[in-house]
Parts: sequence; C-alpha cells; structure tokens
Amino acid sequence: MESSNFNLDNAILGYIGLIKNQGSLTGSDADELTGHLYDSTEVLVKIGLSEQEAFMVACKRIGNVELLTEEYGKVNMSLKHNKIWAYLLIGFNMFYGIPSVVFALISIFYWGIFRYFQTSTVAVFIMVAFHVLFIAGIFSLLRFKRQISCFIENKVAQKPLKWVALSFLPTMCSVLGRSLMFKRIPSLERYTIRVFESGLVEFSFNLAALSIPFVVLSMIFSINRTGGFKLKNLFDKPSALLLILFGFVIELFAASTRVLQAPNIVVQAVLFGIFYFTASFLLTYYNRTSSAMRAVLIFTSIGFLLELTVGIMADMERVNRFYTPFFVTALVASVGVGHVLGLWIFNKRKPTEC
Amino acid sequence: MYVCDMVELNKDFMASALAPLILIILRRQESYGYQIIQELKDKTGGELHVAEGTLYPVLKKMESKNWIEGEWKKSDSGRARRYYVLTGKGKQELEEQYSQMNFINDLIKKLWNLPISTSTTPFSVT
Repeated sequence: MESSNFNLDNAILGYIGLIKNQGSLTGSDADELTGHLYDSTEVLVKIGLSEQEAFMVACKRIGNVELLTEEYGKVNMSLKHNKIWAYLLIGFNMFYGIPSVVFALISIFYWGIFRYFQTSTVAVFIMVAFHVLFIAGIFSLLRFKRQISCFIENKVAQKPLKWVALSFLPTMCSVLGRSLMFKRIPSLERYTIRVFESGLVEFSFNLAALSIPFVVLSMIFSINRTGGFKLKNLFDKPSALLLILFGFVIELFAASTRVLQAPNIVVQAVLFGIFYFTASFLLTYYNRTSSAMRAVLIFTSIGFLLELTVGIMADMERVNRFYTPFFVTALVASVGVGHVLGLWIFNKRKPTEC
Repeated sequence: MYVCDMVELNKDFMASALAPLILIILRRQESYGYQIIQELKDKTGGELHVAEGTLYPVLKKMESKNWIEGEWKKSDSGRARRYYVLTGKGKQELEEQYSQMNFINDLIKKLWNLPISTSTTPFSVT
C-alpha cells in the first residue's frame, strides 16, 4: 500500500540524512549511498513493487543506520579526528569569545546605569536585579548542560565548517568591539562596581563573579557522573580535591559578605556563617553518615585556615579590634549546625527513601 | 551483517573475503557499487545476502590502498555514479591473494581429509 504523499526523493534524502547525522559519512559517501538507493528502488519498481515498498526493501538491503555508521567509521577515521578539532575550536570560542563579549556588554551596561542613575536606589535595585539574573543564567548552564551539548553535537555532525566558522564570531566581535568601545568611551575602563558606593551592589557582584568558578568546578567534577545536573550529583561522595576547591569557593562567597557593612560584628559573622551552614548541610545531607563528617572537615579546613591566618593579620593591622574570633566561631558553629541538621533530615527521610 | 542461506558467514570473515571478490569482479571491467553487489548475488545464485551499504567502506579501504581507483561519471539515467577500476597494484594484489587463498584452500582440504583418530588416550604414560 503506497501512501498518497510518499515522495521518493525526500524519503531517500531522509534516510541518508539519518546516517550522515551520525557523523561518519563524507559528502561523497552520502552521494554514493544515495545513488545506490535510487538504483535499488528502480530495479524493485520494475519487478512490480510500489515506489514506497521498493524504497523500504532497498533500505533494508542497504543496511541499518548503526551498521553503516560503524563500517564507515572504520574507514573514515580522519572525520572523527576532524570532529575532535571542531569541538576544540568551538570550545575555545565558547569559553573565550562568548565571555569576552558578555563582559564587554556588561561594562557598557554598568556605564549606562551609572550615567543615568548614579548612586541612587534605582541604580542599586537595577544592579542587584541584574546580578541575580546573571547568577540564574550562569546556573542555567548547568541545568541545560545536556541540551547545550546535544545542540553542539548535532550542529557539528551536520555542518561542522559552518558552526566552527560561526563560533569565531564572538571572538572577532570581542577583539574589534573592545578597541572601538574603549576609543569612543575612554572612561569605560574606570567604571568598576565601586562607583555605585553600595555594599549590596558589591556583594551581589561578588556572588555573580564567584558563581562562575562554582559552575566551572561543578562542570569539571561532574564529567564522570551520569544524569543531569542535580545537587545530589555534585555533593554525593565528592573527591578530596573537589572538597578543597569547593571549600575555597565557599570561603570566597562567605568572605564577600564583609562588604555588606552590617550594623555590628555579630550580624556580620552570622551573614558570613550562612554560606558555611548551607554548604555543610548539603554535604551532610547528600552523603552517607560515615563519609559526611570527613567531607565536612575537608571542605571546612581551607576556610578555617584562611580565616585564622588572614584574619589574625588583619586584626593586627586594625589594632584594638579583634574580629577573627567572631568569624572563626561563626564558621565552626554554622558548619556544626549545618551538619547536625543535615544528619537529622537525612535520618528522618531515610525510611521513606528505602 | 552478512548472512548466507546455507552458512551464516562471520562478519569479519566476510569483510576480509569481500576485497578479493571485488578485485576479481573489477579484473574484467570497471563497475560501480550496486553493479558489484548484483554480480556477487548472481554468481552465488542469490544465496549471498550482504548488507549492501557495507560494500562501500570496503571499496574506500581498497581505494586508499591504491588497489582500485574511483571516478564519478554520469550514467545513462543521468545520475552520477562512482565507477571503480582495477589498478596495477590491485592486479598484483589480486594475484597474490589468489595464490594465498588457493594455498590455504589446499591445506584445508588436506587437513580435512586426514583420518580422525579413534584413540581416547592420545598420550600414554609409562
């Protein structure tokens, strides 16, 4: 039975496209297989089959997508190597070109906000909202990691040259745009976040900036893990190296609360401890009771040492004002409370999970 | 997958056997993929079923070894087809493979025709 809208050209194009999308066929290979399908269909039609039936038999005879991909893959090894280079080039442009353009645009944005709103509440609100959106955008990279990689994989398989060339656009825009931008607005380089004279803006900026290494670390350390991005995947049985780096990033997050200019040192220490509390809670919650303590101790050690050494040095400079005991106490207490709470909730939920 | 009605041929065995078969076909005249497959099918009386598409990677491999040469030509139907022709190196390769296969074939026959030992204890311990 032939479907009334069957089109042989489209059907052959579609089938060869399926094989080609696997990335092991050259253009010449695809043309050769296409010719073969036409020849085969033509002969089958001559012996009485409908065009659609003939096409289906021809497809069965030529072999399935997996088999042909495998066999062509053996003789087209250079295609595989070229694909690796395509990924490398696209990767370089993604991690250099795109951030360069984004950061240049952010500079213009800061400059524009300061020019029109100076240090007003509106400016503070816009800046904080912008940083929150930026953090959400950065974390959505983790969430959509699979979709992004599938998109790149498909594009490289279909039109590698086009997408490698396109990936250079942000890099070129960044190089050309930056020189033009600084020529036209020479004062642009001077507009740092401090011109807004707001602790909240500076704090949200620090969070936004620190979310980048956090996301990069999460991407690196989830390479060997299956499944999409979930907190469980990141915090479940982390390596010692991840814990040390994670501890360092958390210390930076926590230390950035100092720019908030809290009314007194106790509030400042509490704000500082919130980050350690959250991290300790997540590490404990997503690990078994036996390894949770080890994980918490390793990740805390970096912050503890930094607070102790850098804090004491700062206290010595300040003379008569000793803040280090407050921050160290906040760190230890928040890690302890986070750990206990994590254990408690973990134990409470355990029976239902089993 | 390569399947024969009489014997199911191992994929690797068939892949290695395909090259000399193609060389033999191309010894007589230039040909293209579909025609080569048809000839193989005709000569085995339809008993040889090859996943037809797997012939092309073999042709590519043979071309990279300079045993055959491919060229795009327009057929009578107006469609472009890649025609393959045997090279001097290919002829030499065919002769070598032909004599090697005959040698192995003879050896197999000789070994096959040896009487099967009925003894259950091949080694006696004294």
